[in-house]
Amino acid sequence: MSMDHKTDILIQGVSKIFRTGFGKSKIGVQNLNLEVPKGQVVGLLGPNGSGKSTTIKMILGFLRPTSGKISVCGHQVPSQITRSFIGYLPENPRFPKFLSGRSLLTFYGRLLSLSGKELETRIDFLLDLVNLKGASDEKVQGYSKGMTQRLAIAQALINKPRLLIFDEPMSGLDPLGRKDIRSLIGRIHSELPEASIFFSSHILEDIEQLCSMVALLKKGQLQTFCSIDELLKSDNQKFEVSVRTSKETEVKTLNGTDELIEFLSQSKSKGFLVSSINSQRRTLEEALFRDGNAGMKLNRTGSPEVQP
Amino acid sequence: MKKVFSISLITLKELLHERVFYLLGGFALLAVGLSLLLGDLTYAEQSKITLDFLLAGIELTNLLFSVFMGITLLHRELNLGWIAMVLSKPVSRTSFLLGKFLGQAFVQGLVILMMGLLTWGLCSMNAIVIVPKSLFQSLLLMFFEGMIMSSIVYIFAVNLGALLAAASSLIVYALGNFTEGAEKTNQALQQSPIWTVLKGVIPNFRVLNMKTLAAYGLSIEWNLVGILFLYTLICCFMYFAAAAVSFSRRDIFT
Repeated sequence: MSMDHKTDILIQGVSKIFRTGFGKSKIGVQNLNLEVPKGQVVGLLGPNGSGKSTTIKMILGFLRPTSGKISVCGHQVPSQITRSFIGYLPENPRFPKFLSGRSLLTFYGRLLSLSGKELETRIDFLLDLVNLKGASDEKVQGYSKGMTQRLAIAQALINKPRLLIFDEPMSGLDPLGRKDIRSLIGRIHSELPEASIFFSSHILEDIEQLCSMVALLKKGQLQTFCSIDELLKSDNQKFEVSVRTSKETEVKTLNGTDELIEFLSQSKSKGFLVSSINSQRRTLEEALFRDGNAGMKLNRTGSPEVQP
Repeated sequence: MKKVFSISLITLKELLHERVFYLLGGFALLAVGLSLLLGDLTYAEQSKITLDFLLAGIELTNLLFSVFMGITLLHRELNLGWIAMVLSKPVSRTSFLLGKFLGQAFVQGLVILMMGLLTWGLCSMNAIVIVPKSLFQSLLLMFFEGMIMSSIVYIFAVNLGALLAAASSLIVYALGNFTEGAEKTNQALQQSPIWTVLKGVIPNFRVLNMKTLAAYGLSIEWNLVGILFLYTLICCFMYFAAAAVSFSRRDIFT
């Protein structure tokens, strides 16, 4: 295994083919290569049916790859050891309705071999973190979608995991709920700075706001995997310059640094006053879907070319 | 083992909150009422017939509990996705299955005990003489039968849809009760290799049936109970192992 300590997930040549009937099959994921570096927030982006959940379920050992290998924190999947490093939030989490939030967390804690005071303290901390302390003794059947999602995040954090895997964490939530979960993920990242967060979404805004790296899947194949900064950095960057002439204030849009430098020197010679220069940052959507160069930023192993 | 115990405890709580559980309780009461009515209508050997019907009611409830509870427990986990949060922790699929099985076994034992006590109470009220030893042995063997059935149900429940799993389990139960009789009436079956394989795979439930003996107040030697316990353990181990292997190899989509 070529995996070093800087990698939390290593996916090597993984394919998953589902049998859908007699002689029929469907490709879930095809020859996927991916390395998730330690401590990064990595977004797995792609439309519905692109293989995001399949990839996550293979990492967890729920699905067996048809071919290829997956390792988590240096250990081959599937194994119980790999799951002791992972905190998992499923898409649309559901809990046994007859239990309270606290008893569920106690149950999950015991499955992680936690007990006694240590477990109680951890549960109190997590209930506080996800803002469920007031409802901890209520049965989960009375929980709203947002509360259920926050409880699911709490159970994922119970063992202070090295790797957090969130499958569509904002799915089905209203804008306020999404904002809550986003800020919670941000807080988790600051609480557990060593932990990697690997989450899937088809919402570009969430990925752009939370992730340091992004992997784009399309029809089960990896299209792009690189840092967000690298992806948003444009070869033909645009600048918006405000310049005050003797009569009025003009706003000019310039393409690239060469044009900017030339404009600034001309303005200086004419005696115009440059009041502001704004670099126009591309959106993730532009970078991924409008450039038509998806996949160009991958090296042969599927690892990003630029380490942030 | 602590993880298995935790899963068993949750399963126990789940079953105690289960509506089907109450339905089965209702069914048991109906069976009890029916047997008392039949007892009233029958002139000869009233007490024996009543007790026989009561025990048959318990046996049927026990069978339905094994089949439908086993399937419900596993299918709900898989369909509602509860299992995802359990199996994402360092818990093996075998431990998960064992936890479910033991939780179910505990509740099933409790249900049989409650029905046994109810039978005793009803018989006492109607001045029907019960030999405690024979009633206890009969209930114990029903519990053994329930455990074997549950482990068979798990094989089907982890591989098939609910309806198919229930049908397959009931077919195995029927075969397990009738193989011995079928062999006696049809000698040609003994030569058939398929029959030999079938007999080796399907448990003999007839050996665990002592309802009629209990109705007549007869009991069996404790040594024989011990042997039947061993038989139950071997069957459960064999079927549960098959279910566990099958479950650990399947994809979980939840």
